[in-house]
Amino acid sequence: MTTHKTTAPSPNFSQPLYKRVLNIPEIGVLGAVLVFFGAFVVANNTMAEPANLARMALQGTFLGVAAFGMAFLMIAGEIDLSSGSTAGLSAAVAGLLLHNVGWPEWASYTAALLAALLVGLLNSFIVLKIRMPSFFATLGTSFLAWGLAIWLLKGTWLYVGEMIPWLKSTLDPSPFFGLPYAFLTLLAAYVIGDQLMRRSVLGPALVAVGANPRAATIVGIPVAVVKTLCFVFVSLCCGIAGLLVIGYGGTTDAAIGEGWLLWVIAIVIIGGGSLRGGVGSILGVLLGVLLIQIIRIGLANAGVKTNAQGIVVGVILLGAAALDVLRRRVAQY
Amino acid sequence: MATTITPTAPQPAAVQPILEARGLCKAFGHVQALNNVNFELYRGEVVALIGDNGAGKSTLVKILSGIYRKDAGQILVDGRPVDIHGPKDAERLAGISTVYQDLALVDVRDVGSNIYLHMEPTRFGFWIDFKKLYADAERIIRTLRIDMPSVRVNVGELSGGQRQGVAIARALARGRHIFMLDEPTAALGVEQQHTVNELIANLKAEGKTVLVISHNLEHVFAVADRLIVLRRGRRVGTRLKTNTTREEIVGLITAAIQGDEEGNT
Repeated sequence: MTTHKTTAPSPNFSQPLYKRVLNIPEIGVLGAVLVFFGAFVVANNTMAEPANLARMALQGTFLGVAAFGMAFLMIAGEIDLSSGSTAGLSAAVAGLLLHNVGWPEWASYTAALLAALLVGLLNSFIVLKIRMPSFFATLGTSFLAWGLAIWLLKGTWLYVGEMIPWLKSTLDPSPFFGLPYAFLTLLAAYVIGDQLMRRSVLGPALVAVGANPRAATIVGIPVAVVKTLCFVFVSLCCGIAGLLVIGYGGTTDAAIGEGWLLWVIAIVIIGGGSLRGGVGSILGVLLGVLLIQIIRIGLANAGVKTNAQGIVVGVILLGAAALDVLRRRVAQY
Repeated sequence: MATTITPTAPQPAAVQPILEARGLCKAFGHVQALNNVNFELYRGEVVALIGDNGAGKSTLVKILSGIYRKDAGQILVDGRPVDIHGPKDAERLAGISTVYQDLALVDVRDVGSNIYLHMEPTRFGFWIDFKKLYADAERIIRTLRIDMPSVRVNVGELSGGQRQGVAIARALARGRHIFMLDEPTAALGVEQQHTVNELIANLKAEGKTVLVISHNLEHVFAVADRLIVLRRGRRVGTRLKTNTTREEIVGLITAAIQGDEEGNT
């Protein structure tokens, strides 16, 4: 009986160190975080100051919460374009109940998160029952949630700064390097989420659902249930993010989540995710959040006008993506 | 060709088929895809189901694996009638695992993770015991004698024959004992076909039962003990490999030879 040796390379064994390092999916983002942070520190000595770091963490929390949920959904092979609108709707519901109805904080937030949850259920219903691609389905619900928020607030905004002591307190600096409590909680969530994906039975199941739903079905993974949970989870995350923005600014309006969407998707993809699903790293997404924050705050500190930031971020994103393609090629051959 | 398979002796009538179907009928609109077809599979044999396009091979397999519902007829497992309403029933009641052409593997994951997908060995029922997972996967790969650099290679990097092996290993790990392979050599080169032939021989050596659906007579004559020929929804011939020739089988497939079971099934 002839034995024919395979020509496929074995990527994990007896390879030079540089290849093994290049094979770590998160290495690119990590490198970018270090390079940009270093560059901005050199360019502007306020960058590494604790106050600046705390500010970066605080502002990064909002996108970070939304991106956390989106990471799981995108690994499962779906996308939620309604995330920003869901944040706005959640904020609108909370603001209205606090300001106009006079509900206590906890009840208002519960109702707000229920509204977000309904958006998630609606998304999963349209995608899984009506079988519309999530790209279209959530584009539709995005307008729906956004319109609902505007209608609820009658197109205006509300000041609720005096009614939300608890919410504000979540953004207070903690004794731990002055980082906000909400940010530390988010950090813990990322670490737990990353461990679940790497070491628990949930990781392979989620990846299978995104990479090959037929494989998942054959081995008995309830694909529809997994996807529904992901849709609902990302909506809840966005709802929480919307509430945190109220806590930050003290006002609520329907536009709270406007412009988030591109950031959130960019963060997940920078962190190693893919629009085709099946891949992604929770740790990578956390690094993506940090990278985006470093770039935004760094540019602002360096005196780049907000108007010009988009251009710079776009160039950096494309550069990062190109470097990642290069990394994979070098690691393979 | 190094693979030789010892032909099994003709099954004595007293031996109970491990899987049997009687009088299966299935129509799609006006097309009678299966017309009163009998089918039997004995433990430890390799049977090839052959026939031209539209002969009813896929329909028969899909009924046995629970994808299609039969219009009429009966399915028996170890002599007992069973109701198969879905793929899960086929696996649970009959131990049937169907390996389709697309194999349904997760390309971005490694061999071990694919074999044990959704049945990973765990600690506390939740945290994956990777050491055990890879050790077990290694053992299954060795059992099937699949030539593979490591169980930690991503499935996407494997050759067609190796991928077929992973799909079969996944079914084997789940304790299945009847393997239905749908055109396992369809998209493979000559050397890869050889790999699949060895794979089937090794399954048989493990005492498993294999049903191969194939167009490829070279492949069929290399692996099968018994050949069942379908034509236009009817079973027209059954031959032991040792008692037939390619010419006869081609004749049965193309109706150049009168089918011998056309009248009595």
